Amino acid sequence: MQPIATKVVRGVTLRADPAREPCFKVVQEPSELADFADMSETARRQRLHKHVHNEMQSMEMAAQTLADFPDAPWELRMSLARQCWDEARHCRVLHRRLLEIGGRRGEFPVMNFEWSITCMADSVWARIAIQNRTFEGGEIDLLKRLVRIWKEAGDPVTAEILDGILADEIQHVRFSNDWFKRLGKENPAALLKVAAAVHFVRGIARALEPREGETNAAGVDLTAFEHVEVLVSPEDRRLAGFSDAEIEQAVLQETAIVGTSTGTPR
Amino acid sequence: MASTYMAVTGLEAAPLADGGTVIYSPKTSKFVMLNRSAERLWSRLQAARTEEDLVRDLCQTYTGAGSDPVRRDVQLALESLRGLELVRSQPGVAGDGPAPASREPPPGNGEPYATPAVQVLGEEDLLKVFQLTAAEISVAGCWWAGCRSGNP
Repeated sequence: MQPIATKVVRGVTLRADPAREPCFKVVQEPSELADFADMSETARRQRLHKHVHNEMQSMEMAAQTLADFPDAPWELRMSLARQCWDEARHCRVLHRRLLEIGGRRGEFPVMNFEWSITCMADSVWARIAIQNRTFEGGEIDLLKRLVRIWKEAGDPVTAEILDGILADEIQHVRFSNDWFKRLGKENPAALLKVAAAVHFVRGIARALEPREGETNAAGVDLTAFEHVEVLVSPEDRRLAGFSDAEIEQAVLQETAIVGTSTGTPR
Repeated sequence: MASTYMAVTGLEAAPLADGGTVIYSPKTSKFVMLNRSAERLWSRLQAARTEEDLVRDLCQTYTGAGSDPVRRDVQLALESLRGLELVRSQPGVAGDGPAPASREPPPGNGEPYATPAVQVLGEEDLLKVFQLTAAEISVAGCWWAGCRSGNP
């Protein structure tokens, strides 16, 4: 892997941001984002805008992993290439929907949270542990909920788009889990890369945790939010190749987080 | 002269969120999970230590740890670690020098003592232990839609 450019955010070294068109304002901390707390028209545009940018990052991460690890197994590289195609399609579909509801690229600030963390990893196994198994694993849980939120907000079109994206993301998580199972038999030492990667992400999440009373650019108090109910979606996680024991553990962890948050468990 | 104990070389380790760690031995191809107090023992074993050194260290590190039960725990933990080929013993001189056996170590002022636990993990167990949920990521500031008033 070639030497990489880095940046430091709250004392944590992360990969430097990918290139962005001038229309985008790239920020480094959640407090600089303008994430709204409701489903107003502005908030809807902002939610879709963020999702478009997240899909863009997903495509860039998979592509960067292909570029950084040319010696990775061919079948894994094929899966990553297909993932690039999927994420690009998600980005285009969501962007089209954003335009339909009156949004535009660059209307809100963006942050390359996932890119900056994932692309610090120096092995292909750590990369897919972070991007696919962790971030996209979390995303399949969240997408399930987002489909409901958009439906309840009277926008079945966006809800349907998200439901379609969910099916693809399950496959992205699944191929990573398949690889880790294979790795456990063929090269168990490499599994420790998964462990180190998860520890790294956890450390960053803690470093970026909002300080008491911290608000974002939209005036939302970042520490006063309500955590959602336990989000883990066992059915989708099972489809994504997680074992029952892993799902049970994820539910336990999430319950512990919700139970100890500053917000109100729902 | 008391026997000393020391961790074998060539092992890999990954820290756990709760202060424990997972060790991988390429020689035995085994993953071994240590809880926080076992990890403390493990960290001390990077240099040669006597059993008494380890007992004293645990008593001074944790609260509510009496030397007799801790000694039994240390003996069991060392036996497990040796059985898993993670620690070797040898007659020799301890890193810190032996503590007087008759003297009770001063009480610790840290967190409550928990018996050191050494557990062998299968590959699936390992993957189970190293998971991160959306809620945990959301702590970093409403990642995607992990919180009610944040958004994707």
